[in-house]
Amino acid sequence: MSIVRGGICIIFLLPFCALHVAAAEREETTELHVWGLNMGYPRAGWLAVVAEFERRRPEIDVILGPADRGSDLQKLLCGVVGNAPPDVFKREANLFGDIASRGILMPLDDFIEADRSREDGLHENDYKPGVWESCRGSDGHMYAVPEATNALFLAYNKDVFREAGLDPERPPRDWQEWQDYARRLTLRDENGRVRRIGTMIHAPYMEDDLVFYIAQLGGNVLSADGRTCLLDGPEALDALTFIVETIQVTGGRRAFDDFAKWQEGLGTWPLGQGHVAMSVTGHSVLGEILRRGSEADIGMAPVPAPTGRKPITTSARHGLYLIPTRARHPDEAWDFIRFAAGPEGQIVFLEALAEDRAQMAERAAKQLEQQARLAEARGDPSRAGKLRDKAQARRQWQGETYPGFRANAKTQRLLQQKFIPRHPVVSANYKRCAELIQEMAFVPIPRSPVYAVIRDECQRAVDRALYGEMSPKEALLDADRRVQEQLDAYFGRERFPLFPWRYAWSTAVAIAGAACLFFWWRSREERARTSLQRYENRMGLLFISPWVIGFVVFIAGPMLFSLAISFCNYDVIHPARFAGLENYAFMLFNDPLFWKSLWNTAFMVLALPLGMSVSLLIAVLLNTKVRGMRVYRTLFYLPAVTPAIAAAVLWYGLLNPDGLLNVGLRRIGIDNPPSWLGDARWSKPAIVIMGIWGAGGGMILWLAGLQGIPKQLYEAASIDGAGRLRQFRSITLPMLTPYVFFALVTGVIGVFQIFAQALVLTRGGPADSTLFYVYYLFNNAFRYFKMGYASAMAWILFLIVLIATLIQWRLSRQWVHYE
Amino acid sequence: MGALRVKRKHDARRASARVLVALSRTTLLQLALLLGSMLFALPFLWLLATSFKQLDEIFRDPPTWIPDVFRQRPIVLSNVFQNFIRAAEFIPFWTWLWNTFYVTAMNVVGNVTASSLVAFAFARIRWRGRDAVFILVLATLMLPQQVTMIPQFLIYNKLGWYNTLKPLWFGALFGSAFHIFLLRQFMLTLPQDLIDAAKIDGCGYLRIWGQITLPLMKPALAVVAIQTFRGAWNNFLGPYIYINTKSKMTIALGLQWFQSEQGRMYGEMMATALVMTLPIIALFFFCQRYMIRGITLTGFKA
Repeated sequence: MSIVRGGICIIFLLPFCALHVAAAEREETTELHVWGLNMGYPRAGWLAVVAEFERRRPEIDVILGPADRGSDLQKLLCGVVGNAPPDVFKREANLFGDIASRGILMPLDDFIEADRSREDGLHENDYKPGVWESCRGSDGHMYAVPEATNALFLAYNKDVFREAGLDPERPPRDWQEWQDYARRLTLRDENGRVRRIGTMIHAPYMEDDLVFYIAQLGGNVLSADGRTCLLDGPEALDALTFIVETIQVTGGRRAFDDFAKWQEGLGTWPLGQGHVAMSVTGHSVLGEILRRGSEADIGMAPVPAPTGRKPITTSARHGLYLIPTRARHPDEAWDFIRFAAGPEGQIVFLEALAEDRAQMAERAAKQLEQQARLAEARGDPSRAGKLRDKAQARRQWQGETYPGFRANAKTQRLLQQKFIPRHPVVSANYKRCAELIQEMAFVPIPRSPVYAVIRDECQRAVDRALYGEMSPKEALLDADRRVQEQLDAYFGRERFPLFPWRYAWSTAVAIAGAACLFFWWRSREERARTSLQRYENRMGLLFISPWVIGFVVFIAGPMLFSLAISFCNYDVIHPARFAGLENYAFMLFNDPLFWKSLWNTAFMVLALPLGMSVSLLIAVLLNTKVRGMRVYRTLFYLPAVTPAIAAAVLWYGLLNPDGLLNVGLRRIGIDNPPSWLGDARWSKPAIVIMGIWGAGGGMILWLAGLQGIPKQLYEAASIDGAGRLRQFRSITLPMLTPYVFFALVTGVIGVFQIFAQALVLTRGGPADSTLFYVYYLFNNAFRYFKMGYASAMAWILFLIVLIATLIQWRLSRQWVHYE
Repeated sequence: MGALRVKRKHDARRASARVLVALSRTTLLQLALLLGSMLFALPFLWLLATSFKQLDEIFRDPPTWIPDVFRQRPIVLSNVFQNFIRAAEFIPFWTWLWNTFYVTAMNVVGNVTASSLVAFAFARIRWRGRDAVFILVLATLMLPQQVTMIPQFLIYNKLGWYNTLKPLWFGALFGSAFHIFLLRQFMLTLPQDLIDAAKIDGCGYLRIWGQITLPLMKPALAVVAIQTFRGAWNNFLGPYIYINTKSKMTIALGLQWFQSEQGRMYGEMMATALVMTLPIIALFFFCQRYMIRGITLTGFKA
């Protein structure tokens, strides 16, 4: 029997081993690691570029890496520090300023210089000055090469304009007009619920809208030397006031949240469907029209500027190629960049993309036709006709592609000749956009080492003003203060002395030695007197040695290290500098976000008993003898074994404003269900609901506890005439108290670890309502590179958990009943 | 006489009433269980349904529970599984599965061996300083992993293990405090006579551990193995920090990568999530007896 089982196991394992061996075998070639090629919609194009490059350079094997907007910077930093960086890194420009100032990018000046003599080289004069300059770091070196120019436009639905009696050929020109239009175009139903929002002022994935609107006013977020934050200036206030007012005239925060969530888009396209009248967006709208074979009449215009100013756009969304320091093959990396960003690569890219689109359109059309045939067979000719029309539209337009906009003028000319979209709306808009890109000035994003902080603080200020937490002025002052503190810390780090590692380590070793000696002395009564005892001592030490080694290397050592750097200003790249108690002082007295994250986490602790009671209830139900118990147990346990990431992905869909949960709530008569993750008041309860769904995990523990209660107790009680409830109260609960205690202690520790939910579902928002402690800690460590501060936070977390556990321990004497 | 008859009648009525009550109680119980489990399984059913749906169907109002592909006649298999097929095109699924499997296996083997060794030393060997060290083990239970996260990252970096799978299982070779505690409690319940007898027969501690204690501890070891399996299979933060190439990702990280990069491919994502969850469900379905009994037996009340 066991042989059979073993055989099955081996057969099951074989393919894995084969895979592993196969993966280990191919070597010999130069491996070029390329990160950040978008493997979503333009996947086929990039694969073709890579294949063509590999064909031309057979000795190079291109390996594609992550292209995740959320974590790629953290990965890049870890890669550089860990000596495993990519060779080519492609990214939107929005955090360029931050990485360019951290010393983890290779200056490209030499490559560019060498390219001057090459026919196919990348030459400065092929680029628009503003675009080229935006790739220069604050030290004057070039750290990137631009590929695409992705300007911001105002896309508007002309049909909606006509319906509202506005001239579809005359989009709003200045802020005043924009707001008027937005007000007129917003449509409410009889319940006051917004059915159509006048304008989305914030493009999807546009985290730095405040920076953009400030630039429109001619202002800047940083002074020229980059050392003073200007968020307290008049332009910032005007810009924020404008944002808040515009959102208010279009139905306020609630409508904005709903539509923003919607726009981020799980398959819907509110602009084309007329649910959004105007929207700030990139040129990807054109792709959307083609992809959907949409009939909507969309117009593109510059984003309205303040009265008396020229429309501008920002360089924040350019696609840039970078080479990190410590890249293993910088020359090959540059060859790849030259090919991919230059005309040849781009033509390969677009040809492959067009072919892929056409194939996909054909497939979709075939499916629709098949459905049409089915509908006919069912006797529904009108539906069949509709489906046939749809298939026709797919065939005609979906296979098309439009060339996009390239920073390199030569490339752009070539592409514009070769790929002219036939779709009337797309081709008209494409021309218009190309003109606008020529006309509009590109304002470079500030190149500052703390740009990630600036961006997050701008977002925070918008959120705070929007949620009415603070007035715009207060919100900006607070943001200014926080950014300024980061700037001062960065530029003033030199004033701190280098951390004296040698003294620190020798002190640590001395203390550890003293502690060991103390314990040795305390255990003097256990001293070995016989040879058997000596043998036992030896064996004991041998047996616990795995744990001791692990403890010293992976717990005690790291603890001391993190304690040391918690007193330092440390960003992994530069040497640590001793800053005394600064981190702790800042955290406790100056960082409202620390307190906010603590409160958010405390909220989840308060919700803990809820989850515990639900799981106890389930356990009581499951601790009976009815048929099919195994299945029931599995069903209840199902959510608990669903991996946190899978669960988060699932609930992201369920908690959508129009997701399953809200559909259900509307069905039972709640007309205006909350938008859950989009609403600062409901985001934490939403995560609590998610947690309760996973309450089955605790059930196992309760079941174990319930089954451990002696049956005689219940028999005796029922002879005494105690009812079920009475039995539960007087026997079950007291007997379970050790388990309650255990669940509480581990539950509190667990709540403080909430991380994946915040990362996948909300990224801490909205308005920091889901900024949980560990998530904030992680952001500090791997987003702002403030390792010292993050370590200080970790130590405070340790203290909190320790105190919470001790308090529970102390209190437990009064209510925990041990046999 | 009459009184007796009345009483008997009364008894009979009470008995039938009791049967009725019992019957209705089981029905009620069944009903409650059915409703409750449905409520809990609902999101999961939605996951199941969505993984077969196309994008336009996913957000259809009212939602459909039986995806279109199953309602078309004839059912075309390549249509039914198109999300799975497309997901497998986008991601190196088998590589991820192998990585996850490898990391999980190393974790389980390493942790079970190390934890039981250490637990044995705490439960069955008398050595100088044992209790002090045991308190230290318990104290580390309260240490949040975030405290050691950054330095550990730097250590693994120094070892040149960044972007390898090693940091994801190496720590397990040193045992985990919670499991050491669990196993120690369990070992204390085993009869000491057995060990004494073995000692008299000249057995070394290593043999006692391997040939006497371990076979007796199967339920507890199963608990530790299952918990480690679950933890390693679901581990997200570890790969999130240490892994940066697609060929080294585990499924948990891959799913997040998929989600943030391919936001539009909702159906494909659900399909991947489903595949990721199935092994765990199978594990639970077949091992639930061990999981529950194991915890009861370890009796951590003390």
